[in-house]
Amino acid sequence: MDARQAGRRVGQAVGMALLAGGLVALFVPDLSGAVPVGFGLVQVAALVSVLLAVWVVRRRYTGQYAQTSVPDVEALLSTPTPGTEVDEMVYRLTRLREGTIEYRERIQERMAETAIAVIMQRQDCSREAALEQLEAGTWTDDAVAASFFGAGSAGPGSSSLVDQIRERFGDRESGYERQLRATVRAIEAASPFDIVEPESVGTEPDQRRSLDAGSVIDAGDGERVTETTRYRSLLSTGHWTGITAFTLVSLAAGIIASQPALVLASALGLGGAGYARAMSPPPLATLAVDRTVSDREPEPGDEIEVTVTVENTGDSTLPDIRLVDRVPPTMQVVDGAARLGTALRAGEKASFRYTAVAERGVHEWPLQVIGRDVAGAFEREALVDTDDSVECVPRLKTTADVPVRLQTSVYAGSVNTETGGEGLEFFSVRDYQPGDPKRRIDWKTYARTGEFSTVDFREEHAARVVLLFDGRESSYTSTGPGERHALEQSVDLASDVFASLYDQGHLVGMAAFNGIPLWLGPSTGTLHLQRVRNAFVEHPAISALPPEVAEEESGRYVDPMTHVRRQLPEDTQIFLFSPLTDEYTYEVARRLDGAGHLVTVISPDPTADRTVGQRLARLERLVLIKRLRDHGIRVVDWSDEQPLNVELEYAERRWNA
Amino acid sequence: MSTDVDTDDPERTDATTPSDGTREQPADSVASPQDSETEGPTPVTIERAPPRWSQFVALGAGVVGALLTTPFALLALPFGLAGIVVLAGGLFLTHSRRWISVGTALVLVGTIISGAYGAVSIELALIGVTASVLAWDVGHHGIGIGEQLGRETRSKRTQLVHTAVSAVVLGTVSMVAYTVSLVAAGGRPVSAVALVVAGIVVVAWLFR
Repeated sequence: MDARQAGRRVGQAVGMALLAGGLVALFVPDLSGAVPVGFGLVQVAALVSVLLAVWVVRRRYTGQYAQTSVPDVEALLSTPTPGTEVDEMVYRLTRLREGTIEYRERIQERMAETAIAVIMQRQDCSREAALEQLEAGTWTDDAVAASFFGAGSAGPGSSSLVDQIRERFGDRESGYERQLRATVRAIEAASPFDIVEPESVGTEPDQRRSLDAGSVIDAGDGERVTETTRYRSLLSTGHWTGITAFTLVSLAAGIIASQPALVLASALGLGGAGYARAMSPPPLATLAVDRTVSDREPEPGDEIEVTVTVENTGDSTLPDIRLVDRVPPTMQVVDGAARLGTALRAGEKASFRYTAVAERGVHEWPLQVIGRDVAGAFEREALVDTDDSVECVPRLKTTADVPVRLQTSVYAGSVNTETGGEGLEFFSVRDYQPGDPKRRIDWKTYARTGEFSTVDFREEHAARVVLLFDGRESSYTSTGPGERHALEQSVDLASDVFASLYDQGHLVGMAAFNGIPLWLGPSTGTLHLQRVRNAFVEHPAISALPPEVAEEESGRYVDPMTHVRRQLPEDTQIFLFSPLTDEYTYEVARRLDGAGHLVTVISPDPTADRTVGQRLARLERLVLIKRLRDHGIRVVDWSDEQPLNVELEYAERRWNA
Repeated sequence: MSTDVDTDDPERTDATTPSDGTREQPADSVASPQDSETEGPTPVTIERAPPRWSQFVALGAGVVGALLTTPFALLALPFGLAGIVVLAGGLFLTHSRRWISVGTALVLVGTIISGAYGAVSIELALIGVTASVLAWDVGHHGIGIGEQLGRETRSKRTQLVHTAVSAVVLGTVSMVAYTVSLVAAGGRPVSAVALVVAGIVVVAWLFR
């Protein structure tokens, strides 16, 4: 490397000397006689120059323009929609022609499971009978759908040659896709759910704004140069690369055609390249950043106004700096832009302002600074930390009136139990037993009959409730790109439910099943309230960021429910929050139910109906809900159009019917 | 889960989803993204296109470069025209660095052809090439701004500084070259020219 650099130096010196000598010779014609060169040599130089130009152009063409990438910091983190995996399989199968047999089998299996469940539910028959119908094709009137599960499946092979060619060139969906769609439609029609047919359904998988490495910045990323500034990368952009090709070609053409205009014009390319070489990376450590937030302790959903001011405290001008505030992925910018491009002389200030929607959690975020020199030859990326943070705590206040069920603790509370004892409301009269309090003896009966009897009042006890979260990866799903995911909605709903139950005087705890355990036993008191609030804000088990993005390492695999089952006290009611997109949660609910807990599932709906896969996922979810309800487990199927208390009112009417 | 299935065109699935005007919204169905956006505040999206200012300055410079140098030779004219078209396409349609480079290169090839026929004066050649190089530089800078900051973000200041400094540097180089041409206007000894040429080639190669 050193030798190369030294060689470069020498070369430059030689080149400069030649150039200077030539210029002097031009100005002082008498000197030129001293240099023994002829015209032939000049033409050789021209030829060499053209060859070199080709080389330079090739270099520019193959080389990448290097620059720091900036993610969409304004947007909400995107999460997949349930069913995306099916769409991806279909896409690979039909467009990329990959894994044909495996994918086809897996899709077929999922479709068959759903179809069987639907047939069983509609006709109230056994699994064998449903399977028989499925294989015979008598479950639907649709011939295409019927053949999908039949032995002699009418696959894409049966379509005509013309069709196959057209499929190949992608201007129509393949026979397989058509068949899939018909089958999903047939299953929907056969199901007991009233599903509205969407107008158009594609099989293209949803675009995912990928959770690339750039969207989350590690705390230890980069090389710390000052207390707050870290240099992350230094690039040579290659902005002026290739300009010398013009110099070389123009020079050659000028010499061969003996045109001074071209020889002179070639100096411009040289000038541009020299200009780029004269640059040095801009110093970003002298940038002082100040961020002010209109509200440091907002509630979730509040809009906060953020103003970022940067000042160049150094002595040199920063000609080209690009500032991007790395807003946390859970917060959405709704006004202004969290970016600014500017130039700052020494001592100058610039600022930008934007409005974002606060989301639960303790947030600290860096400012990304991309600085270039004036020619754009070097690009340095720095991250500047600011010492301020935003703490967004759910308010734990609610208007929802969440009903609890008849499963209570020994503590006094507000649930009317079915047992007699101390209380206010008359419950029953029974025979006197020694030890009964004197004031509950029914003296009138005694006067009439001469026998003691005791009046029992209805006992009012507090319920013991645990809010249980499904924090597994399947909860990080949403109805579309940029929508809030199901776990975030669960946490919203749970904070309402918690507040309502706590206000009613119940003992409420929190738990989550996830790689990272969360357990707060049902309790009461200020300390407990504080713990719950903290858990809502930043417990990693119900983190707002999917595990693949969050910094925490999830340890080795343990059954996520183990710690919950171990610690769950008896006679505890469960409010289970889950999008219900897979069997696991269904099993959890059923087992808890079997262990004697009263389970209410509150399920934010993350499914959509834009593609075949999404429709299949929606069917699967509806089947699961139906099965849970058949087990006597209460399910609130919540979509974010209705406030929770309205949805609960409907549900209560259904439960009490 | 793989995300590499399709990453090139973020607009595509939006086109296949029904727009909310044509779609009947059943009461119990899931809210589509379009619907929920109309309720709350609209999220800010960044349009990753070059700022308009840089587009027009770059195109203007490219046109000046082509007009000053290429119309004087029949063979050069098509290069100039094609260069402007490709440059405009790169700036306004594809937002692609490669198109801008190819467009500028075509204009410069036109300049060289025209110059080789002796159809361009030294002054016009210098100004024209300065303009073309500036078009290339500003176009690239604008694309970088568009990718990192977006079109709507305030960035005029840095664009102005970058363009102005580039223009001054290239202008200075032209002035120097022009001065040389004035001084050495008379007899041009071959050996002196050879020295200059060799010097330029060596330096250009090292500066690549």
